Amino acid sequence: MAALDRLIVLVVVIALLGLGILVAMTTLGNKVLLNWLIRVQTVRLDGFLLVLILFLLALYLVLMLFNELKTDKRAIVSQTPLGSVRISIQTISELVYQAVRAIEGIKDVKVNIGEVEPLQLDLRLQLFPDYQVPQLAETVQSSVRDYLQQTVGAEVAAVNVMVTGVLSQQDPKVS
Amino acid sequence: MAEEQRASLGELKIANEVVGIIAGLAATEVEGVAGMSGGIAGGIAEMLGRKNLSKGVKVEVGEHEAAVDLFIIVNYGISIPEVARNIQNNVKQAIEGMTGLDVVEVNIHVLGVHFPQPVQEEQPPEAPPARVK
Repeated sequence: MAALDRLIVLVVVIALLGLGILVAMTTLGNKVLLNWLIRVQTVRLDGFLLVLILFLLALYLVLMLFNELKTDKRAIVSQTPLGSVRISIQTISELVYQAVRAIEGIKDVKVNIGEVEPLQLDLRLQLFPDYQVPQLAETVQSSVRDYLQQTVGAEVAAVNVMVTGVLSQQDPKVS
Repeated sequence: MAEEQRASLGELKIANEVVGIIAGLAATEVEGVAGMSGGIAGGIAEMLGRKNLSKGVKVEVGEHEAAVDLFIIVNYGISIPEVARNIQNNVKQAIEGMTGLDVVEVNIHVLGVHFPQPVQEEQPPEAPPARVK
């Protein structure tokens, strides 16, 4: 959970607590909340500001929830005598990303995992110029396969490579 | 739910939390494990300043047996099956040694990879070769 997420949740909790306390005080005869509501009728800016903040908080929470639901729950599962080992899709993507980035000639890569059983990867590559694309693609395929075999112990059925662009180097004089 | 052992002089109960902490500590000391991964609730508790030693651990404790689920982040560059095996053995030994419970299952969930802070490996840019010697 990111630091910002925690902060927002904390702010919402404090806001709800504050509202609860104000309502409780109102039932006990305190007029703070009522007076404030009456005041907002004339001084509108305060009201608008509060409403805006509350709406933004609500929106953030909804987006957070949506992100949580959207995360891929698939995993590569293997059984050992002592129980199961599940390796999440996120882990696989991160590993593949790093492995591909380490290859010379690759500027950037987007990893998408199509199938888990058997494992199928789709890679979208951005390359530096002056490399032979078919050779580079082959290098990528074999190193991803070897790397996953080694670190995850999973067989890779397919590594589909799509070259989406070639970037021009900033300064060709420096290696 | 707590573990219960009938002894002649009374009974011994071991709380889930205790088994969870033992498992968490045993798992994090294995080489290749970057840390445990707690959920949203764990994140909030930690934010409020509560250090949770059984973060990322789910335990089920029966009368004589225990099953553990561990949610972990691994370091980059290790072999996951090997580390998983080490964790399973270490956690099993720790729980069995300290509580006498029979550990029937240690399930590992690898949720992410921790990369070391990128070390600047780039060589300093070479000075362009002098045109005239």
